[in-house]
This record gives sequence, structure tokens and C-alpha cells, in this order.
Amino acid sequence: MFQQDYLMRLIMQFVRGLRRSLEREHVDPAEAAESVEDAISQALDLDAGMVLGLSPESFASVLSVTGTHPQVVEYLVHGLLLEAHYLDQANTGQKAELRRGQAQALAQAFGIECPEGDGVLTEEDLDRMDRELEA
Amino acid sequence: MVQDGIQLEGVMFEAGGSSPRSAAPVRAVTPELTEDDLALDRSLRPKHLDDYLGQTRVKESLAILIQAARQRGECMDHVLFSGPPGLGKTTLATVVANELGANIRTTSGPAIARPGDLAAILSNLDDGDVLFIDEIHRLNRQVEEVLYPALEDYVLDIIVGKGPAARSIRLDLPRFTLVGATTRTGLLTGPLRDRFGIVFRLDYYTPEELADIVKRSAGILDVAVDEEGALEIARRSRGTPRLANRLLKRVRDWAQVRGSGDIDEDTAAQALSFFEVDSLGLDALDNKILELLCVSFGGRPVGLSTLASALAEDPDTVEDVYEPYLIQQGLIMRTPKGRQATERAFEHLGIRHE
Repeated sequence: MFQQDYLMRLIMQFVRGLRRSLEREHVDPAEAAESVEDAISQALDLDAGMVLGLSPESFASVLSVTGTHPQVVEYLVHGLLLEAHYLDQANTGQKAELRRGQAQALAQAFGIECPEGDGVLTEEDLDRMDRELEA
Repeated sequence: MVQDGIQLEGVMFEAGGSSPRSAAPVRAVTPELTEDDLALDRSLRPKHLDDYLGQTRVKESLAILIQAARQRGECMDHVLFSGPPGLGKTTLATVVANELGANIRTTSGPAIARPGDLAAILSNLDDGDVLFIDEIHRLNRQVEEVLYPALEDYVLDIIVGKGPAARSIRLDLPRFTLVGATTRTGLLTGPLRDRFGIVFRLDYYTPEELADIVKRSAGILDVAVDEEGALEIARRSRGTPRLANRLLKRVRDWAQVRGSGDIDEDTAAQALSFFEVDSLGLDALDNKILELLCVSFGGRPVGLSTLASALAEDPDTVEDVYEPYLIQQGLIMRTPKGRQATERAFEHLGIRHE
């Protein structure tokens, strides 16, 4: 029960972070990317500064080994793809590629379907996520 | 490690020594890497040990270590190259990688600001890669802590959880060879220095060795230079190959515009005098220091700050940039009362010492 509450709070906090980034997208994509990265860092119960720089395979391995909850992983995949999208807009292509690779490696390691295309989230997607969480 | 070449922006850069220093006006005789050197450097750098001239003892030792590692099919021990700028530390790192048949990843101490930056680099290495960290003495302590287990056991420690529940997990890394380069061995921490299996100190080159380098570079640049011409450039290059190559380029330009295009002793001497590099490799500012000490202050000891004021320079710049070579050449000395010109300085200026 406690664990479920903790997960819910973690994911809701994460979704709020993504929502904040959507508001910043057209103003400053670099800032929007930073906002998503903050949300990802908070959702990871890990030394985010260290883990987010790892190669995609190593990143997925660490999350598997540390027993990150699959439900959190699903949201993380969306978050990583969203950050990659902002990074593309901010012309930081190398880092965008890394985030995209991490999202794919994570999805593969946890048997989750990785969103097609660049898998960019919209306000509607976030509303749907909120509704799913409340349900 | 499929994401070959992925790295955090600004952390990795191409082999070529440390980033060019561009704050102060560039001296023709500075051993530091300048913008001017970058393009030239790439074409002139030797790729294999056989092409590398000078540093015979280092080369012989490296050849054995590389061959042994290749025969065993293992990575070579981590190597540290130390010595003044411009002597070929970066080049040797590339040569080691080429001889091992490995990829080289190049970065520098100040570019790795956070432990995460180093984790990114390490986890993106392939098995057997060479990681070259230039100016390794400038790594910060937190980053160094990440490097220790990576060097000893090829693992990366990652903290999981927060607060009292925090624990660490170990992530296996590919086996790699770290090649470090430093101009300031004394600034390396003991634990880091101890983790290098092999430490080489590079010495200044003799004029004959530099002349060979000049001839090789002239061949690559398609410039005709005779033995005496090469030796003249070498004698004025302060024992530093980077400087020899830079002076060769200047002499080539001068010979093309004012001469026949070929470089002999006379052409080299005239060209270098034109660019204010004298027979000992001193530039205008070095000579101004000598003139101040010998003439203006009459050969008496002069305090560093007084000398700096007279030159309109910062005392640290005088101490770190100009003074070392003049002391090495026995032109000035440090005394308890300040800097003083030696007999050789008077001779060099053609002034009689009263």
C-alpha cells in the first residue's frame, strides 16, 4: 500500500514536470529539456548525474539491476523521448541521440513498446496519463 | 557500447593537445598550442612509432610494452606522459593507440567537470580502447574518485537510493588503457599517480633531433630544406618540436615571398631574425628582459614585481612564461635579492659586464 502511494506520488510529480516543460517548449527548448531532465532525475532513485550520462545499454542495465518499477520505467521512456525532442530543437543533437538511445534500450530491457516516431507527448497525452493515474 | 562516439557536448575533442590558449597575444616561441598549430599539427603528427623521432628511450620502452600487450591480447597498462608543453605527449598517445590497433578517445582534465561526464565517457568506450586525458592534473577530486575503480578493476560505482538507504552497485566497464598527459607531475595526487603502471618523462630535444623533425615536416609540407637550414631552425626552437614546426612554417612563408622558396641556413637565419627569433630562440620580449636586467638595472638583482612593471606585464606571466627558458639557458638567475642577469646574458647582448 505504502509502495503504491509512493509510486503514485513519484509518477504524478514526474508528469507535472513534463507538463511544465511543455509550457517552456516554445520559449526556450533548452530550458524545457532541462525541466524534463530534472523530472527524470527525481524519478530515478539513483545518482542521476552519473546514470544519465551512461551509454544506452549501461543505462538500461543499471535500471534493471536496481529494480526500478516497470510503471516508472514506462513514464521514463516518454520523458527521455520528450527531452530528446527538445534537445533536437535546441541543436544539441548528440545528447538528443543519447536520450533516444536510452529510451529505446530501456523499453527493450523492460519489454515495453517504445512509442513510434519521435513519440513526442502532447497536453492531451498528459491529461490521459493524469486520468489513468487517478483511476 | 553501440553508441560509438556519443558523448556529452564539450567533453570530448579531437586529438591535438589541450585547447588553444588565446587570451594573450600569441608569441612565435610559445610552446603552448595555438590556433595556428592545429591544422598543421594534424598533418605533421607521426602515426606510428617508426615515424616518431627523438625520445629514443621512451620509444624503445613503449615498443616492448605494446608488443607484449598485443602478444597477450590484453590491454596495455595505464601510461602517464609528463613533460613541458610541445614535446609530443598527445602524439605519443595517438601512436600508442595506433600501434595497439585501438580507437582513441581524447578529452582533457578541465573538460570533465562532473563525475557523470567521466561515467559517460567510460561507459561509451569499446573493449581495448585507449582513453587519452590531457592535462590530467586538472581533474577535480570527485572525478578522480570515479576514475580509481575504473583504472584498477574496470568498474564504475553508482550510488542507488538516497539517505540511509543508499547503497552502491558496480557496473562493469570495457577494458581500456588510460593514457594521461601532464605538464605538472607535482600537481597529480599520489593515489592517481600510483595507478599508472608506466610513467614516462619526456625531455627537451637536441638540435640534431629537431633538425630531423624539421626535415620530415618539410617533406610533408613539400618544402625544400637542406641540412644546415633544418639545423638553423632547430637551434632556435627551444628544444620543442611544436615550436620547430611552427618556425618552419614561418620560414617557408618568408622564403616564398622574399627568397627562392628553398630553405638553407642563410634563409632560415634571415627569416627567423625577421620574425624576431634570435640565435638562442629568444623573441623580442625575452631580449627586452635581458636588456632591462643588463642595461637599465646595470646587472644588479631586480625584484620580480619591479621587472614586471618595467615590462608592463603581470608578475605571474613573467615568472611562468618568460623566465623558465631564460633560466634554463643560464641567461638569468634567481637570487634572494631578485632576478639577475648572468655573464652569458651580457655576452648574448654583446655588452661588456663592468
